[in-house]
Amino acid sequence: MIKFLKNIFFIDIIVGLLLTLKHFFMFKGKRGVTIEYPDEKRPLPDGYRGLLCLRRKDDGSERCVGCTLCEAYCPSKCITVVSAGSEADPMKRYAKFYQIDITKCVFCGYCVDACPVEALAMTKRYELSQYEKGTIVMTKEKLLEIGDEDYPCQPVRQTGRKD
Amino acid sequence: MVKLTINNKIVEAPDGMLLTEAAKMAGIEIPTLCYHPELQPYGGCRLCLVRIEKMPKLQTACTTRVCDNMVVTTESPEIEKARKGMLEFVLTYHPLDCPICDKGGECELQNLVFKFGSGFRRYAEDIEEYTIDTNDPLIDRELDRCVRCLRCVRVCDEVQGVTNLTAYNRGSHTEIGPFMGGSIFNCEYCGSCVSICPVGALTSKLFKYKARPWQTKRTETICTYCGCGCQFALETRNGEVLRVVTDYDKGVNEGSLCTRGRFGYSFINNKKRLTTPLIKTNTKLEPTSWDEATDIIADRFKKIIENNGPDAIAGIITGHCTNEDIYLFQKFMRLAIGTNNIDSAARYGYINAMSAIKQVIGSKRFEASLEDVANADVILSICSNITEVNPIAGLKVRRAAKRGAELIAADVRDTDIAKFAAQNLIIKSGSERWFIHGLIKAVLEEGLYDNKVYKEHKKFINNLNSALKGLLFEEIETKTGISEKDIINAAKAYSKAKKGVIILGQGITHQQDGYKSSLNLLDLCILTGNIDGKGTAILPLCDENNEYGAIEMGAAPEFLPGLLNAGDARQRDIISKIWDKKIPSKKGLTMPEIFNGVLKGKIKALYIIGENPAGTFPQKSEFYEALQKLDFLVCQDLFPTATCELADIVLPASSFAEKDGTFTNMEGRAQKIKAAINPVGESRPDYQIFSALSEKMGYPMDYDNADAILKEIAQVIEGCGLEEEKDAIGNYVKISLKDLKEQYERKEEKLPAKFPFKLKLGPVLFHSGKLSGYSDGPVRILPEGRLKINPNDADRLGIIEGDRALLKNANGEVKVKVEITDRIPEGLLFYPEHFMYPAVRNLCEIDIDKDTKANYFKSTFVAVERHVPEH
Ligand code: SF4
Ligand code: SF4
Ligand code: SF4
Ligand code: SF4
Ligand code: FES
Repeated sequence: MIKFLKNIFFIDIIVGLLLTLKHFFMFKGKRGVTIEYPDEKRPLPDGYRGLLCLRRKDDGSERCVGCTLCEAYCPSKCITVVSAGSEADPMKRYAKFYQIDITKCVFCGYCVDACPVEALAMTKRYELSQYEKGTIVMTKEKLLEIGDEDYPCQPVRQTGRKD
Repeated sequence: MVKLTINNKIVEAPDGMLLTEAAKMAGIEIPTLCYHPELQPYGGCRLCLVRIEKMPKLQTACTTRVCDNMVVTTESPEIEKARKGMLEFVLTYHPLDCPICDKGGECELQNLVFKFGSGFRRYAEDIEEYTIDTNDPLIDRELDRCVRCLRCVRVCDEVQGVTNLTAYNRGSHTEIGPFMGGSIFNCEYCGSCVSICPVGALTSKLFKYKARPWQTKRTETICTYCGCGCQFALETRNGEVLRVVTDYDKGVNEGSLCTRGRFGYSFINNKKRLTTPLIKTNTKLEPTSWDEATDIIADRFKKIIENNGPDAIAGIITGHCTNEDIYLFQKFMRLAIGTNNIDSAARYGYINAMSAIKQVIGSKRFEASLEDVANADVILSICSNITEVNPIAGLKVRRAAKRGAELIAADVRDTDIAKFAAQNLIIKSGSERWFIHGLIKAVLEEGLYDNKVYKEHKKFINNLNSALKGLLFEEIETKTGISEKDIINAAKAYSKAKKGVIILGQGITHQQDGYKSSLNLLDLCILTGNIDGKGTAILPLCDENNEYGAIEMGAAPEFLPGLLNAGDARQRDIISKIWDKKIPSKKGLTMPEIFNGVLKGKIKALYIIGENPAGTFPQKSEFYEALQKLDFLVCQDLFPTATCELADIVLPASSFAEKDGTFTNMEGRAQKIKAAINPVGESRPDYQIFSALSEKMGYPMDYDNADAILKEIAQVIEGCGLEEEKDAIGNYVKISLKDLKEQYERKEEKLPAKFPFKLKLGPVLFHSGKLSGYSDGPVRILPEGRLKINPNDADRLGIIEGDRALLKNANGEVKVKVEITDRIPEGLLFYPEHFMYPAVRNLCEIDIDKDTKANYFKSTFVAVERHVPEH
């Protein structure tokens, strides 16, 4: 009987529509779910895989030793490393040229995994679109800059020989 | 063959084979570290442990030889545990700095640990300090990474015969270093130790941190320096040649290289390379386009042909070009221009040996191969300095000598190969012919000739006897300084040889009468029966890598491709038919004749490829003058040379790393080279330049690629098999007494009283031609030339090591640094020929051979005094 009455007066539908109505008038604020991107940004979890960066040691020197493992591991082949001995100390290996073509990057994070000296890290930056493709090819300078901002210096893990 | 069981699998292997090799043959992998197939068994790392039934404990497979019914297990928990343990031992002190280590990615230790190790090190104490020495100009030693396999020490001793490296200290403190101590290797810098080191303990400075092995492209090719024709691979990245690597089982060199081959590659990417065609405007060379440059060349050539005839143009090509280049060049000159005025760098002396050999044996492949040298039982090395001119051929001699072959080394100074000689004969400079004739005389007088030869060529022997009649051993002794006994001993040793090889050095071929001396030595071969083509013969040393090819491809006025005689109408026709155009019949000019022609105004234009006469001829010589007199000079080269400065048009050529083709080495083996990188700048492979020019000259020679040219070459050479050459020796020995007497003339060399020292310029190990001077490696080891002088002479002149000496003669004076060494006899001076400055070459005169017109300008007489610096 009640079911019959509910049916003829569209009770369920009205209840549903009321909910809609309620949400319709519920604006930005405490209970809102809409995020007003780009004015507002979603908080990201810690493991978020965003734009890559290069980090420095605490003394300000580059961590990257130019071992080229990231290049080898990268599945989309977007990293290019040219290693060399540094001018001041030819026995010191560093990346003379380092570049990530972010247009190709699939943000898998394998390179970060591969890096034996924790020189590579992923930031939470994801707004990468540009009018020109060329401007999002990340040079070493750009990568280091981002690293400086997002990863303030930390002591490096020791590998092998003492410096 | 023996039968053994490895892992339940029946394996057949030759008796005495090492267990590691037998297992490998059967497809079973036994991990090894200190074992290397090139070296003697050592058994140092104990990684190759296997269980052999009925033997106590585990055994090292790399030192165990297989025998019948052996039962071997290579995989079991016990063995695995042992391997893991051994690897952990190796890693006890290992720095594990793989990310930085240059060996990472191709490190044997890395691979072994990855595959067999536990990847864990229990040892946690402080790591021992080891030598890290980077003072050597080429080889870095980082001994904390050393696994003490001693492969470096062994290769240096067993393969190179240099014995420069040694292991010092004991146990875990063992370190590797030069035998004489210090941090500088100061050796032959063959780089074998770097190449064989399984880890990153010995690394090349030139490659340091440049790339990982997986980043490079590998191209198998042939060395461009000397006539050994060593095979190696160029590793390149982004158009840059990063290093040279070898495989121990490839090529005539079997993985060995000399310093030029291994470290002399950086000329390829040298910034000084010519990258665009240049044209002379007023007095300066300005860049221009290929089209314009070739247009002008074709125009000028055509005009000269119109006004003065085709024979007013001449061409000279280097022996560093490929067969395809050289073939096309001579075809261009002969057909597109219409002249036989073509010559190559072989005219500096190699032609002497080649002409003599052709004269005696015919045009078929004739010389001793490097393998013959390695297998010989007696080697007679005459004025060869082989270890410096052709180091890998030298290695074969060393190897033969170590194996027990009798080496007789005769030279005017104490050369490196003499160390291995059973008889080391130092003859006086200028008496080489007396020595050679002495040997033949000894053979004749002692009846050392081959019986068969005696029966067959009695008349020849009689003729020889009478040609040498006037020569007495006393005279030989005073002239050469070698006693009758020694000469007879040498002759005896050589004539009893089953496999006797004569090594004909540049001390003979690059010197007046080089042709006659070569013939004389061939007579010696014939007399003693050492010329049957089965591992016995003569091997002339070849300075530039493709001099053989240059002659064989017909870059000589007297030869057509396939060594046919250009003066013979019938032989000309054979090739004309294949080319479908008549070869000009007018006799061509040789290099000295070309320059004389310029002086006389007969030659108006010169096309020079890769040669640098302005930089090699003495400046006071007429030839140098001739270069300035030319109406039109075209230079095609890798680098802006002194000759380029005089040129009207300069064309940039590609180096061997940028083109395909073939090189023919000193044994007559043609080997393919492959382009490893794209041509540097706008440079082009030489053959493409000739193609482009020929089109503009109205005789298009269009080929798709180098292979197409090679096909044509094969066709030409096949087409010219000549019948009368079948019994070339039989024909040769019919030589008349008069001619023979001429061949046995000896000319006395008079020492001018005012200039009492004989100065010789010659090749040295670390350089070869001008290319090595543009390469980082050779320059680091030997940046400048030093004059070698005997201590007694130096004493007399008051010169001490490091001083400068002033060399003087009628042609001028030059200051040079001296090196005092008793390896050079009194009265003789030696200076490396490769250095432009100081210009010692300017003291020399040009001497032209009467027979082959070879031109020599590598010796002279000088006075020496100490140079007192002005302060
Ligand atoms: S030698 Fe091999 S294992 Fe040792 S640091 Fe170098 S790459 Fe790593
Ligand atoms: S470079 Fe050659 S000669 Fe020198 S130490 Fe190494 S192996 Fe020996
Ligand atoms: S330097 Fe290299 S080749 Fe020599 S012993 Fe050490 S690891 Fe072996
Ligand atoms: S220069 Fe001669 S011996 Fe040395 S690597 Fe080259 S071909 Fe071999
Ligand atoms: S490989 Fe057998 S002991 Fe080293």
